Amino acid sequence: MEITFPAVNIDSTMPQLIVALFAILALLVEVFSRSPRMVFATCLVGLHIALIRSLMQWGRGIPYESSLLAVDGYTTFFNILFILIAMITMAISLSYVENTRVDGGKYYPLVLFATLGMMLLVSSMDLLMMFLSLELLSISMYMLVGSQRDKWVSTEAAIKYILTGAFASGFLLFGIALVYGATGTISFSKMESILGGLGGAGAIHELPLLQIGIALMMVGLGFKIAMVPFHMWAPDVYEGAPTPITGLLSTGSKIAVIALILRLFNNPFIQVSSQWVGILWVLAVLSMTLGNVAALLQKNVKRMLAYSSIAHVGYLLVAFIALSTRGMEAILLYSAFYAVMGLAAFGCIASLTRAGGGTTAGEGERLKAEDYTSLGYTQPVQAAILSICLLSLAGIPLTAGFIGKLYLFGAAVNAGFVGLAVIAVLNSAVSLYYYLGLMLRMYALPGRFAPMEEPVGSLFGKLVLLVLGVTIIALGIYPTPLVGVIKGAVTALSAL
Amino acid sequence: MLAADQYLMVGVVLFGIGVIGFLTRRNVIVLLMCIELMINGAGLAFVSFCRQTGSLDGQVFVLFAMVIAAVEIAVALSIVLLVFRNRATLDVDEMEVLKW
Repeated sequence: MEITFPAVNIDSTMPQLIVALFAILALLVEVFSRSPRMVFATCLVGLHIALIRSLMQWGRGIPYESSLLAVDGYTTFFNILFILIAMITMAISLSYVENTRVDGGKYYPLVLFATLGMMLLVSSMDLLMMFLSLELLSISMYMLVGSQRDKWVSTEAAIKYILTGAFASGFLLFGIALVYGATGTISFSKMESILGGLGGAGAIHELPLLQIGIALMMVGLGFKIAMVPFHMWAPDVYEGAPTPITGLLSTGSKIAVIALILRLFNNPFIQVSSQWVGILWVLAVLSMTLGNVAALLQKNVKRMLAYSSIAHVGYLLVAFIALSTRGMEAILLYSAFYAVMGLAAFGCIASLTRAGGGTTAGEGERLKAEDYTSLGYTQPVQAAILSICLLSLAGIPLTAGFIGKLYLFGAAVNAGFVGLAVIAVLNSAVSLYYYLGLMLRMYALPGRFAPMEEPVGSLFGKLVLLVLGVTIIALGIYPTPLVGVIKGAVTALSAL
Repeated sequence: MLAADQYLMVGVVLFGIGVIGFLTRRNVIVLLMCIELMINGAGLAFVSFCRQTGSLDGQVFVLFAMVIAAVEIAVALSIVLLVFRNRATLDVDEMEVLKW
């Protein structure tokens, strides 16, 4: 028994270190200046430096792998994506935080800590690192969900989230214990060589501990990505959380866990992955169908988008089942697209909040579908961007969502899962009904006695939304550069 | 002297009690205690596997898991305090504003 200390390559892990450093710095700024705007500025500066540092890492081709972390093209791609997600979340939070009396001084650093958790999660090469970064992400998110302390819905969402989240962590931890017991190691690369040396899937059947362990781990991770049948918490939490945090929950934290699952099934558990196809097939169909059908019935817009995000997890699983390079490319591409669409949609809802938002559920915010009637005439900017997001989420051509779905379902067809692709396309058709329903409502002609109202939302917030809207269309028309980048990232993952 | 397998069985039983308790009880504090039981069950499994495989990774893992459990409980209790201040109840069935 000997313990070797892992060597840390400071240069390669710079983006993560910068985010961690600035999150702590921002907390100090909060103590000394008491100004949420100063904290906001500090966090944003930190994210920009980390972004530049990650972009410099891109394509330099120095893959770095220690026993804890891997820094390769795959990690760098997701680091850049998560930093951008954090920046967008911060930008759409700025006026929301001020309008709804959230304590910004703690809110922004927590967003950074959650981002750090996502970044470390994707680069983990070790079950311990994986567990710790997942908990860093989850615990930051619990606090962010409950950050509207004077609103009961936020508190209720937080208690529901932390109870289900901690329950899921228990399953994950026990699963990790069993996997460790079966293989005798917690390192991904050692696990891969041990399982690879057993001689195929037949020998792995002889390891019941491993099978149960992976199943328990998938229960834990399934909770975190809100995959059916572990989705029960998601609608409640998404509805109650502060709107920008709902955006972060449905994009960032979900994408991070999906990226981790991809790594798990490509490195340590590659021998086992084919056994999971059947189960994931059923779960993908259930996620898509339940998500879309339940979304049809919703009266609350945030809740509708929550169910739609459950359906989107199903779409991502469709490509995962293909277990091919093409499938992985499709997942990465759709993750990037979904991050933009999801954040922009929740950003629009957040920016429609009136100042001094009340203390009861939904007061000051536009949450009910009726609140959106004829919005296109009173709040033209937000209505237009929200329409673009809805079209893209539905997968209408000329938007990013269409290209993404084309890749996802194409990968499934390519791998011979034609039936699954047909179910996915039918589900997309069902989803059109509620996405377009909301859009038509926004552009319904106003009645004669429609009350006039002032446009809401800050200029900065509208500019951010406008950039996101243009990005969705631009990626829908010309996705080629992004596809090239993603091909590089997937190659890095398979090369490990 | 108990064999490592028996420790593992205790761990599994603890985990099982935690899961069943979580699914059947309604008081928030009891739910948090059940989660604690699950985590400690996993910890015991780690230590017994450590004994079997002869690597130290499992023991290191348990220490980290204990810290994580403490952090999780600290955050959870502060949220429970917020709940109690708002509603003066700890029964999860009474938290039902968010539902469809």
